[in-house]
Amino acid sequence: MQDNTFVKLDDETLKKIDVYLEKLYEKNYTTGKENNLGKLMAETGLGSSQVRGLEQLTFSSTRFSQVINYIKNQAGKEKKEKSQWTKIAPKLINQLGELEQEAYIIVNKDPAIDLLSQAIDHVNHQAEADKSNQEKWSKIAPRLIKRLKEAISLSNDKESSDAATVLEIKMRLARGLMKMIVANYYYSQSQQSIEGE
Amino acid sequence: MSEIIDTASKDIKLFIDEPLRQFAYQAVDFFLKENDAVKTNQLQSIPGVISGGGLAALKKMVDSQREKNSKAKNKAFWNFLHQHLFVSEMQKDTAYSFHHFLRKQSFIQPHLKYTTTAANKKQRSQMNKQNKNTIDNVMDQLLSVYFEHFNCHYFYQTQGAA
Repeated sequence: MQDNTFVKLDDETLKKIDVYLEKLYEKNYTTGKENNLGKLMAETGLGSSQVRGLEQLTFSSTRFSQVINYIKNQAGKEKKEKSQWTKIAPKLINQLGELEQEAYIIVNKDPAIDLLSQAIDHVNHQAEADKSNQEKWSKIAPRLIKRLKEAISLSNDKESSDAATVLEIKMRLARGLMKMIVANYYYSQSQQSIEGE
Repeated sequence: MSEIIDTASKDIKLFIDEPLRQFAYQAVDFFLKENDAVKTNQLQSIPGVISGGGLAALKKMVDSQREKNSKAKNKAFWNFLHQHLFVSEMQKDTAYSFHHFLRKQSFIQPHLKYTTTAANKKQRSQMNKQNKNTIDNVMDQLLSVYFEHFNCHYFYQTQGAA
């Protein structure tokens, strides 16, 4: 079985995740909310096996994007007349997108490494393009690139631990969301059958 | 081909999960904006070809489809993939060049040779060639998951076009 845990999160981060999920529940999953995706899944007649399949995938995935891609694939292959995933997918992808942004807010990730990398690319490009100053560039560019690479190397250790934390937070948030959806799906189904009697 | 990046490392996993996904989605959106959608069966053989023979096998298939496919809109799709994947960053429009996108990533920088450090034209040309091989190597490692992103987004954007 694949290991789908990226890093052990500290208590403070776990608390932030729980607080966010609580807020999300109040915002979308208390009775009667239109963004309650469990309710929407029940109303569109999505089968229990489909819902459980999504839940299982979310809990076993090693990547957040596997979940998004699965939803897109389900909606993409659905026949037009069925229109279940087609209705659910945009809202679900949107809610997952919000979780992804929240993961960065929780971890407070440093964007410096990407900027350093872009700077190297830019220096190299300028050095090649500026034909009239080739001699100057041949002196400056190698030294500048060397220093930028050193800065990247220093940031790399921090980046790796940040990346692992972001991935783990995203997956935990997705699993939390999926629990809400599944619970609400079965609750809405039971309400429908009571109303139908 | 020896592997340059460790796809199991956390930062590469995050790269695969976000920037690579976003780039694949943008490429699909760009294609669909400029061209008629092709039926999804055109894309369905891509993952199998990649898992069987990687970048080289995909290139062979893309070239073959560009040459033999009889429908104009299918040809346009395969031509797009050719431009997107196999034309290096030397071309004018680099916005949707996979090579150019990979070259900008921080994890590739330590493996690239910077041509500004070349002593002469011959050495610069050798460096460019080595850089192309490096990026091809990384592309080969990422291709399978790249087309997971690409295909799923394509199917989603063209719902019912099977």
